[in-house]
Amino acid sequence: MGEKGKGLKIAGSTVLQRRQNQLFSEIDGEVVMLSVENSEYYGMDTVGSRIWQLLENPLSFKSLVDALLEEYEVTEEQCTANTHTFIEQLAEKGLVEINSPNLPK
Amino acid sequence: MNVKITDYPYRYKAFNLNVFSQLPVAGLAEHECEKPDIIIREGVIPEAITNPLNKGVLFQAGAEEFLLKVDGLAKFYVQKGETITVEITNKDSGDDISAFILGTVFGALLHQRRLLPLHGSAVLYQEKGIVFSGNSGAGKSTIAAAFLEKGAQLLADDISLIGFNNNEAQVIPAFPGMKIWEDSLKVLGKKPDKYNPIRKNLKKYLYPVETFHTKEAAISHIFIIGTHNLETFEIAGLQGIEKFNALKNNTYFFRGMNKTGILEKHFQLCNMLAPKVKITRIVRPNGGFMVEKLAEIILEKLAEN
Repeated sequence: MGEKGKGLKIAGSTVLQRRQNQLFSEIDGEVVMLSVENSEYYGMDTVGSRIWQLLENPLSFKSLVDALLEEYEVTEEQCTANTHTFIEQLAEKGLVEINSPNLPK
Repeated sequence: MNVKITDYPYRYKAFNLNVFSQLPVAGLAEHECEKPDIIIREGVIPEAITNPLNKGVLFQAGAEEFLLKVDGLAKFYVQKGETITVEITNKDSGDDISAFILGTVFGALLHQRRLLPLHGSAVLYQEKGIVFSGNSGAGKSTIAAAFLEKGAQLLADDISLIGFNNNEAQVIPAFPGMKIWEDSLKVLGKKPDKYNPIRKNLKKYLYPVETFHTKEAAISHIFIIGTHNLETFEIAGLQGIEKFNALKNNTYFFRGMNKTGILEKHFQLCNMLAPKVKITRIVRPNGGFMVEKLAEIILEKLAEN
C-alpha cells in the first residue's frame, strides 16, 4: 500500500466515481488513460480495465466487488483486497473520487 | 502566412508542407509552390525562451517556442509550427545545418503542429505502408534500405509522420533522402567511399534514393526493432496497452516535447492509429547485423494477413 493511500477510507458503502479530468480510450479491451492534471499516461491490465468500465456510473465499493466476483474466479477476500489496492492507486493519481457517506468531507 | 516571397529563393516540399527558405536545405526536394506552410529564415535568436517546459542540454521547449543551440554551428528557433529561424555561427557548415533542420528542428515543428511523428523510417512495399521504428542504432534505416533493394519505395527516413484521411491512417511522405551509417552501408554490401558524409567527421552518409513515393500511403505495419545480447531473434505481436506504449515510446522527440501541451492531441492520435496498424516487436542479436534474416522475418509477418 502506498503512503498516500493510507489516509483513504474505503468501506463497502463508499461511492466511487470517475473524475472528469482525464481522457481514456480502449485498445483491444485494455484501457489507456491520459490524466490531464498530471500530464501522464496510464495503462490498465484486463481486470483494471474492467473495473474502469464498471465505474462508468458512480458505484459503491461493495457493488463493484460483487460485480467482479460474478465475472472472475477469485475468493471474496482476495477480490476485496486487490480491488481496494487498485482503487487506492486510482485515487492517489486523482483518477477516481472517493465519497464516504459516513465521513465528513 | 504573409511573407515577401522574393526573400525566399528556395522552395521545397517536406512532410506534405510547402517550405520557403532563405537557406538551401540539403536533402529536401525542390518544389514550386506559391504559399508557404513553413518558412526558414536567417536571423538573430534569443538566448533563452520565456517559459521553458521541457529542457535538455542543447534545447529548451515551451508552449509555442523551441530553441536548439549547437555550439560552433548554429542556433535554431522554431515558433508556432510555422517559422524556423537559424542563426549561423559557422558559415562553412551548410550541410551540418541542414542535417539539424531535418532532424530535431523538424521534429519539434511537427509537434508544435500537433501531429504524430514516429521515430522510424518508412517504405511502401507491395502497397503496404510499413514503418521501421526503434532506438538509434536499431537498424531502422538499414532495414528500410534493404527493402528499397527489394523494390519498395521510400516514404521517410528517421521521422515518419502519421496522418489521417477520413478513417485511414497514413504515412506522409517526408523527403527523398536517407542517412546511413558506414557500418550499415557495409551490411548492405555498399562501399562507403562512394557516398558523401552528412557532416564532417561523421561516418554517416547521404544515401541517394531513386524511388521516393510522393503520396500518402495507408499504413499497415509497424515493426519496432530492438537488439539484445542473445543469438536469437525474438518476435512478438503487440496488443492493447503494449501497442499504445510502443507508439508513445517511439514518438519522435517525445521526451523533448511532452510537457509543452502536446499530450491531449498525442494521446488521441496514438489511439486513432493503434487499432489500424499491426505492431510487431522484433529483437535481433546485437552482434553482426543479419539484415537479410531480419527482412525475411518481416516478409513472413507481412504475408500473414
